[in-house]
Amino acid sequence: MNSSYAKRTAKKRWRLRLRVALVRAITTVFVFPVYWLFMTAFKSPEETFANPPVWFPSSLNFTNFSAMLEGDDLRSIFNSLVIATISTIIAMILGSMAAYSLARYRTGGNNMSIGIMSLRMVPPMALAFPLFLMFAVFGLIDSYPGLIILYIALNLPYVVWVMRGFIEDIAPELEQSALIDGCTRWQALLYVVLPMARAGMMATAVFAFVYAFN
Amino acid sequence: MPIRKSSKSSIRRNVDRSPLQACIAPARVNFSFVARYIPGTLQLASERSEHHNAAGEHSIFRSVELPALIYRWAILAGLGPHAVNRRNFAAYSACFRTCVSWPIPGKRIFAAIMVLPTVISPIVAGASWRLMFDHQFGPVNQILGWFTGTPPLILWTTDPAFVYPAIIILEVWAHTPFVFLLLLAALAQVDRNLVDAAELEGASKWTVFWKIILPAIRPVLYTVALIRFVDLMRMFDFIYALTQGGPGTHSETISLYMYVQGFQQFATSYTGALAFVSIVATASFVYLLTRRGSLSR
Repeated sequence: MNSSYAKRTAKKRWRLRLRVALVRAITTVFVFPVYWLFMTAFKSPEETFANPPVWFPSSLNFTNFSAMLEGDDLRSIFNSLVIATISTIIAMILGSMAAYSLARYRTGGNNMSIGIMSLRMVPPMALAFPLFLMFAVFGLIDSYPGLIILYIALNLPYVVWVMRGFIEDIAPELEQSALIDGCTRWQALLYVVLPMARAGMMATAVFAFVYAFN
Repeated sequence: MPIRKSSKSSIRRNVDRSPLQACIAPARVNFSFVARYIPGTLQLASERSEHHNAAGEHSIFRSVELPALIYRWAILAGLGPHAVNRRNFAAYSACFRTCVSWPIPGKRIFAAIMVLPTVISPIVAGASWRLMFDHQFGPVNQILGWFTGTPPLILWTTDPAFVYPAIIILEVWAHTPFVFLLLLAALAQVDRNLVDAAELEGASKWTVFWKIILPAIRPVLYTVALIRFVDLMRMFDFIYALTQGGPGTHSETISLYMYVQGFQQFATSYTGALAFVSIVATASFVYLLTRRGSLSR
């Protein structure tokens, strides 16, 4: 161990400490509102509206939570979970296939993808009324299938676009060599492209689920 | 006029450079728009009551309403790009650089925690931030007070000068995780061999980042920016929970305006016309953006 090596490792350690500090600072800034939200749930009404603000509640107040458990709220959480899960899975399957087609072929010409995206440009307020009328005609109001169909439709543009980006990131040469080796297009998609886009699929699915859940 | 011509061409050159540049251009214009229309804001409030004319018909092409519509678009065009502008992009890229290339213990936990803001439902998050921005019992002014000495009296949600920053803070807080996680996934896809080869050739970390990693994740980067842009154009939940379009109609977006028209004044056809115009406008902007960029192949 000569001195220059020791100096270098010391420098490295300092750099690491600096980075950890920076990451902690960023995380704190981002997590603070979440902390505040949770603490508001525990606070008594007087503490919530205290001036100056109370940083730590003096005692944990569980009345809000017990009220939640006693009411019908658990039922609605369960509903959200079921609907979000099913619609996310279906949207991911349909969306990934559409995205592959858009990324690798000239499906629907140049403007197909913008057409898909236009569903996301509609302000939600403008959608609510016509959708309500349509669902009333089909008898889908207040039913699982109706809500699942709705969230598939709302999530599809997002899934298609993001997955297209992820699939375009993958070099087409890999599929081509798979095709030369005797794979069909479907096999190339299933065994080559999708495994490589796994990280992207997970991230996409997480956000599709979150949007459906909210 | 030669002067005019040259200024025009310089704007064109800016737009030509990249789609992101095109995103920023309306933000620059926006400031002058806002300055010009602040006196008009009060006027708009009175105009709204005129939307119901005698026959109950609504035409967006009526001369009184067109400036109002343009004004709202100016606000939107300013707000949208704010969230994807250069500075935020730098912040995002710093975040994901941190997460990918730095050897930090607990990296996964950090990533998991970072997702929290997006998981909270928008209405709840907006209401929570409304409490936080409060000048009496909110912590935001208190924390600012640690740096300035005494807590400043900033009325975040009711002062016209601070409404936009408040919305932008909320928006950046809520959607950085979205951008962050998707870019993280894109980075995980980058071919390590290319990076290793470049480092072997003696490229610095920054060169590797700009010349190899950034081009490799570009499809996802553009897509994410575009999705954020489109979502911001129709932003509703956050503003509704935070300011309800106030003060006056200062932070009213096209979605909020539609909510007021459709669900409070029951001008259904007018809302339909608004939706149509907003879709056409957004779609044509996205179309131009994708044509100029390398997004559509």
